[in-house]
Amino acid sequence: MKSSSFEPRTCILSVILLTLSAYSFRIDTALAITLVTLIFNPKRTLKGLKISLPFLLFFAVISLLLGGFEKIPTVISLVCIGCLLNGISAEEFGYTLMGIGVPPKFANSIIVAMRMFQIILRDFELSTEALRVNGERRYHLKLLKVLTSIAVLRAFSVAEALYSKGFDFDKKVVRFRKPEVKDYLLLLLSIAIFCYTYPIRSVL
Amino acid sequence: MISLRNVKYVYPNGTVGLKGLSLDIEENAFIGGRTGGGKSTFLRVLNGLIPNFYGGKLEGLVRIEGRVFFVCQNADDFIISSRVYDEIALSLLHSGHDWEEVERRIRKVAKTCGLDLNKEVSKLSDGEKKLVAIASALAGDFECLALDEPFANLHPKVAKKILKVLLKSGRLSVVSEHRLEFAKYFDEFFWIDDGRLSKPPKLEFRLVKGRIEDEVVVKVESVTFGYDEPLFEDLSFEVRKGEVVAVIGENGCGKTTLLRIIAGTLKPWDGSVEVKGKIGMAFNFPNYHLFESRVDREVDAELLRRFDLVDLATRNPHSLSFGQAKRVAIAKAFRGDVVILDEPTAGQDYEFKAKLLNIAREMGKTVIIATHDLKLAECCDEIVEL
Repeated sequence: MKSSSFEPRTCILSVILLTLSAYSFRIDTALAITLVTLIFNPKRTLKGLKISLPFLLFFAVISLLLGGFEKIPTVISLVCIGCLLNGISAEEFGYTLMGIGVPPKFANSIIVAMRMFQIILRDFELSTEALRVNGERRYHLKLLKVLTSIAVLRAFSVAEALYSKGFDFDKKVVRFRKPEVKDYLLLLLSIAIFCYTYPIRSVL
Repeated sequence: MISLRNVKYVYPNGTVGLKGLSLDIEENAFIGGRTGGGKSTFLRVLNGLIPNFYGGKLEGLVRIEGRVFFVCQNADDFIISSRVYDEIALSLLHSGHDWEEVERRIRKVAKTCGLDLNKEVSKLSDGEKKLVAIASALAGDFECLALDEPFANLHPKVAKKILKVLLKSGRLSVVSEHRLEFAKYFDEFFWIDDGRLSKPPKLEFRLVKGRIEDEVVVKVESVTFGYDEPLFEDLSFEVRKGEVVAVIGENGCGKTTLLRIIAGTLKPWDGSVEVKGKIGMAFNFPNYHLFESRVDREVDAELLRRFDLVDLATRNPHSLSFGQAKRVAIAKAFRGDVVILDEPTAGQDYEFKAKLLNIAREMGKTVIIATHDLKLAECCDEIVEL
């Protein structure tokens, strides 16, 4: 059953290739990466860019003052690459890791950690909404207090739920999904960008 | 079969959970009792969460035949996976079933409960999440199911359907609930109060009359909204000052969404919403509203008294049970002129319905309640059905 936007194995490989390419800090490579991610993963990429906008603006202002403004496209492309990973479900990611030989304890911990992150992100959204609706003053400090308490409670409740379900961190669960045309295309384009960025001649 | 003899339990922080509970359960049992009376503690003893996970001091004799699957009160705390399919698969995979068997069981239970397996958990309503939690209990091969308030967020139609499946599953079902209308479907009935078995009290349900003024304070006009597709179209209604309105409808029909539109956190696709006065809102998960270190700093003295929270005044709000924390969040919402409540009776005593309505009417508040509790809805001044 399909649960992710991308097949995890091809996606992980593409992410590695694109990240290596991005670290060349070439503007043309960064633009190519951004374009590819926007074509293959438009909704998540735009959402990711919107969320990281304050960070990107901060980075832009600092780099204007201290130099390094030409690195901005690379930073944007790295955010876009991160959004590709966001298209894989935690479970499918974990099952794939176990399938390629990663120890179950580590892979299962990654599944739980990824889910915890998503759960706390949702708590952040809803806590913000709850405080705003009720017109609370000194809103950010209260949000920090609420989130800290909820994060502790969530950690406890997730542990309780795992216990109730007989979750075994040493249990190896493997499941691969057949890549689709989209996955192969993403991989091919990632290889193309990588080869364009680091031509074999220059390596030799 | 479940047998408890003089079971006493003290939580690690010193709170007494059970004070000598003795009972025998041989057939499907319904557990009633007041909020904080020890029902959830009892269910946690059944699957070993107490004392193995919680620690503390457990005394007495507990005898259980077979394995127990426990579903906690708040489905948000229970569901870990990102998708309905993965959530049901989780306990099956970790019980040692292969993918083929997992797939077969998931399809079967999804058909019974009417679940869309591809749906993301974050996009489900609270009631739908509860349904997923119950489905994962039904998919496994546990001999006993211990469910804490399984019907609290479910539409009566869905609740009855699930109840039928539960009772016909051939497993021993132990259900703790505040919605006493479901008790008649069970073979055994127990009332746990103050950590021990006791006689159910005579439940009083006296309602006071409120004063509804002509002034319209909430005006919903031709509102259309949805996520991927429209949830409701061209919805219009008005709420007058001092009126208590119930919003009802099946699970996932958009009740909470409508509340969020009225509160102004979601913008409708079409139409308009006008609210006069300060809004006070309480979500289904109460902890989003609590940020002080003591209950009496969250809520003023009058509301503490009205909502029977005086005994909890010095406690940290996040250390309270779900039902108690919810009551604090509701009391806090009453600081607003227009009070918006999502499932306020979930996790609350049977009498809380009357108390809530009486407080609203005595204080002259305008209240909009999204609920599956039709008994509560019947007592409201108006009903909006989605």
